[in-house]
Amino acid sequence: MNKRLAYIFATLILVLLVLHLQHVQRYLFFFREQMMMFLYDPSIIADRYLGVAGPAQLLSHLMVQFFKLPYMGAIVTGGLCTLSALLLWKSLWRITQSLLLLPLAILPTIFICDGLFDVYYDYVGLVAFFLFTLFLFIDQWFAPRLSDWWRMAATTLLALLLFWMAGAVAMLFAVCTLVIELVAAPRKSWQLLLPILAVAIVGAICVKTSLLADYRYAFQNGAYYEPILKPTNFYHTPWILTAVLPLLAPLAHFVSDKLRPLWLTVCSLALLVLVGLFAVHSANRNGQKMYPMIAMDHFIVTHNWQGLLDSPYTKSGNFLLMNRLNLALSHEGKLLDNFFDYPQVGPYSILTELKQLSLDVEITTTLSEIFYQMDNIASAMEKAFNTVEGLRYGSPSNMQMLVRTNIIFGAYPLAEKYIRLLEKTLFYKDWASDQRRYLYNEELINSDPEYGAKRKSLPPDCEEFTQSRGAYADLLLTIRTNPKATAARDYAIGYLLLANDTPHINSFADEFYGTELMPETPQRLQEAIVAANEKDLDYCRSRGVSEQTIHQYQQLKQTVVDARRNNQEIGGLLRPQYGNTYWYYLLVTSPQIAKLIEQSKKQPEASMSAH
Amino acid sequence: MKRTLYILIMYTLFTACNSDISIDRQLDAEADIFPDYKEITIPCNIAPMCFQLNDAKGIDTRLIIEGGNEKIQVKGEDGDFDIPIDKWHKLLAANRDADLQFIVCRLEDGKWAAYRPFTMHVASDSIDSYLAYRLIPPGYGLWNAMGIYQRCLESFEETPIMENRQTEYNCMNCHTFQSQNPKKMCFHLRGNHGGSVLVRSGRVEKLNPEFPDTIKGIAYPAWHPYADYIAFSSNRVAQSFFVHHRQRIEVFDTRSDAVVLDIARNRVITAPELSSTRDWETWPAFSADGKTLYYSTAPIVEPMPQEYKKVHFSVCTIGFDPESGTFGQQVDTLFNAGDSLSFNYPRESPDGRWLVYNRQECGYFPINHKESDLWLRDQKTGETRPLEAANSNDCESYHTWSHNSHWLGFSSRRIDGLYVCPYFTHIDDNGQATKAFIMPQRHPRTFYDNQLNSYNIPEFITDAVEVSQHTIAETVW
Repeated sequence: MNKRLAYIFATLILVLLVLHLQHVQRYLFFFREQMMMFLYDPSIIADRYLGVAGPAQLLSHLMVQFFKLPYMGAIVTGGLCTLSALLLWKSLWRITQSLLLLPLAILPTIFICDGLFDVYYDYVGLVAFFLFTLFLFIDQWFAPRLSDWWRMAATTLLALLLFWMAGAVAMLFAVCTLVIELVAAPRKSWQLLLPILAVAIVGAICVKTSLLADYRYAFQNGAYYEPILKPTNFYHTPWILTAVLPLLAPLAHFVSDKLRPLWLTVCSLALLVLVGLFAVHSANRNGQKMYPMIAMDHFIVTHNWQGLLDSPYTKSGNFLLMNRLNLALSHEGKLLDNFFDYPQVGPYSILTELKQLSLDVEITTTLSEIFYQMDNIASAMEKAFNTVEGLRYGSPSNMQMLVRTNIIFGAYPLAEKYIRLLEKTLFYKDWASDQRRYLYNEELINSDPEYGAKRKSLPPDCEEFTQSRGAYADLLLTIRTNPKATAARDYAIGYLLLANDTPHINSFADEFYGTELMPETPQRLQEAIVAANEKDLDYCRSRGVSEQTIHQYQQLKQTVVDARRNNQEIGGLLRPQYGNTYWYYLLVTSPQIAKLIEQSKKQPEASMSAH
Repeated sequence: MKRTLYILIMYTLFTACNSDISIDRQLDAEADIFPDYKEITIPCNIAPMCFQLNDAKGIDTRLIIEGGNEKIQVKGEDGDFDIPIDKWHKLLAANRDADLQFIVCRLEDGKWAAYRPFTMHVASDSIDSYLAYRLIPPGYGLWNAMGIYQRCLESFEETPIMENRQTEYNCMNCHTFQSQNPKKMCFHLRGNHGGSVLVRSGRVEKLNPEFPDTIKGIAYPAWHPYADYIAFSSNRVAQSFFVHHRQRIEVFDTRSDAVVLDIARNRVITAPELSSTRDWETWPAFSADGKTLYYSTAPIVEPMPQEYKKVHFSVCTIGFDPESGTFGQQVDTLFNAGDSLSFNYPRESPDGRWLVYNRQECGYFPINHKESDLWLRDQKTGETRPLEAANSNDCESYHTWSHNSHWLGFSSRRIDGLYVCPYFTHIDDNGQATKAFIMPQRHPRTFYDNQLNSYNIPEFITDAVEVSQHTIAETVW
């Protein structure tokens, strides 16, 4: 009865966990898939995965590559967590088979899932924990079947094997076997000091011989956290809970004995609900920070621009989110038409300040795509390259970008190198092989709608440096080279509008109105021209501003004059009719931004934007 | 019955692995191999020169190597020939100062067809046993793992000297050895735990001299041939990306000076000529006798990088007295760049006979200049010439001399234009270079295809560095 109930519980846990994870970490799974490349190459596998914790990393990467598929991340993670909980629970059967322990056994993996909200906590942390529960289960299975000395030897060997396979988690294994023994057979428990000693010695040797850089990588859950960063103490929690669990077993046993089966089931279910509520609470607490960016990145990587625009994260005003949003608008050809439907907050909404953030891998993927859309191929390549190099195991979409940019530049040996690497992956090999047709085929590249168009935007053997004189200068260079570079044109106009750069708005109109690049003046630019030249309407007309725009502007002016005379707040008044115009941005949003900047100067600690 | 079966299986396995072939016909074609090891000169102690026959997937292939009375056959796996190391060294030992002939064969319609053979000449000059280098992404800002490694050139063994995972993944750079001596090494760490690390006979120290205010961060070291001095340059390095250019980036300094670190007295020595505010001074290196300091210098040009084409470095020399640790008064210009060239990275051979340097159109960072080539100066006659056989259409840079002055190691981007790989060329008694060859690997095609790092600053050393990473890390933490 107890066992059957346990399996029903486990199934329930699995289903709820998968649904929960799919809801709260869906885009994190996609993001994780983009943070590594699993290459089917024996020499790479031998090089990467034979060291300490290498097999766990291998398992982790094998699994994570499938996170590209919808639901796969949640199913695999939910499955690992449920299986870990079940194995942990069964490992305690020598003490008790109480159903009450099962909801508690899921708690450590809930904390590990909580830790996975931080993309810097490697998925291998969960895989290592799963291997730990598997080894613990094996150990506890043969424990009563072996003599004392054989048991000690076998547990020590298992601990050392686990140390090689999964690293630091072997210490948790050694400690847990001791704790279980303390509860189950206290008199013999001293024998299980040996596995702890063995893991401690081997761990220390690994550090002293530089196989591991630090004791953190030998003994703590922090071993699975990004080595460049320091994990918080939070990451100790799942392991402490696991080690404490056997101590609760006698209590669970006692309570189970006292309760009738029905009440036991009800209490177990109640405990499970409590654990579930905690999981939901912690997900809400942790899912706020980077998640919107990660979600948007998924749409960028899959080029699902409408999906990005439909996502619930487009109204934030955060520069990094706005960069992504504007990229989607540009791809959909709506950058100018729908520009002010969203909370643009200055030129950084187009392209975030590069000096501060250009070296963060969370933004370099997006920057690479933005530069590519702007036809700034050199910068797109630089950012993609930085991402590939900044992430320890590469990034498939960024390596694709390296293939694309090198093909555009005609750097075929290099493009071929990246193609060869992508051909060693499961999900990108077909795309990579397809790219081979472009290698050394100038005619095909030049006639390709994507590559050919980008090539036309490359100024021939140009002595100019990209990003050295700002985004607008680079865009100007592109559109002067290629009059068909409409995305770059719209970005340039968007940049001028957000910067309220009147001199350049006029010079832009002077140079490009009536040319192939801009046969007609886009509506948003018309609004800017008339606002900048309201006393010279003939000039406005000569730069493509329509009579209707002039009329609308005059109406707006009158509304503003009336409002000021009546001491009315103009923001609310203008929003319904003019909220999506440049004029609203100029009269309402810009002064607010200026005020914010002023405040931030007075209070250096205050943050300008939401990020 | 069982015994017979066992013998039959063993015989089949044995003959399958070792059956020597005989050539049925000659092909009127050259074997298309990677790396290009045809008609090169190799050291008498080099690791097996394994290579791959291109486009041979699924085809039975054999390599026959003949030299004197020795002959070995190697079965190819998809055209990849993994030459057995023991047999190879035996072959080399028996063929010093002689040619080895390589015959690549492929099975066609059940018959063995041989490509036209090619040769490798085995020089009697040995190469230094190890090459030390930094493995880094040829990158533009971000990095993750990097480290300084040593590769045994007589085998394929690569071991880390120091990896940045020991020091919180900080940037580490420019290593130098005194006269190819692995017991005397220096390298820099940046960021956390930053400083210069000095290894001397197993002892590790972190140098902490007082620098003049103008000196911020030192790089590009070169050790004095016998005294306790290390020449450095102090560079404030910047880099900019071209929009569209045959060269991806231009690296430049906003300021640079040359200094010498007196290790014994823990002090910094400089001279007005080496730290002018009007000029850049960089790439300092001592002469073989230790009495001259070579360096590259150019008048400061502004604004950079816009005016990068106007930057032309000349190579100058200044006297140095190792006894007193003082500089001479006179600066001589060895190569005057004028306004069309730039000369960098002067390195004199240990016997003082030759000086090899970089020649490029402009700038001071040869690694990013496709036109950068290696040139050699005869120190007796003053005659200069390009090392034509060693140079390529892509950049060559960071050259290093073997202790016997007969092998020159250097970096080149010739494979794909980005990832820098180590190459070697033989310099004979007349200063003639032979066709350069890439550092051998057991499976070169796979190895270099998978390599996403550059071999930065290859330096010959006569033996392995033995101090452990942990000892170094404990010192710098």
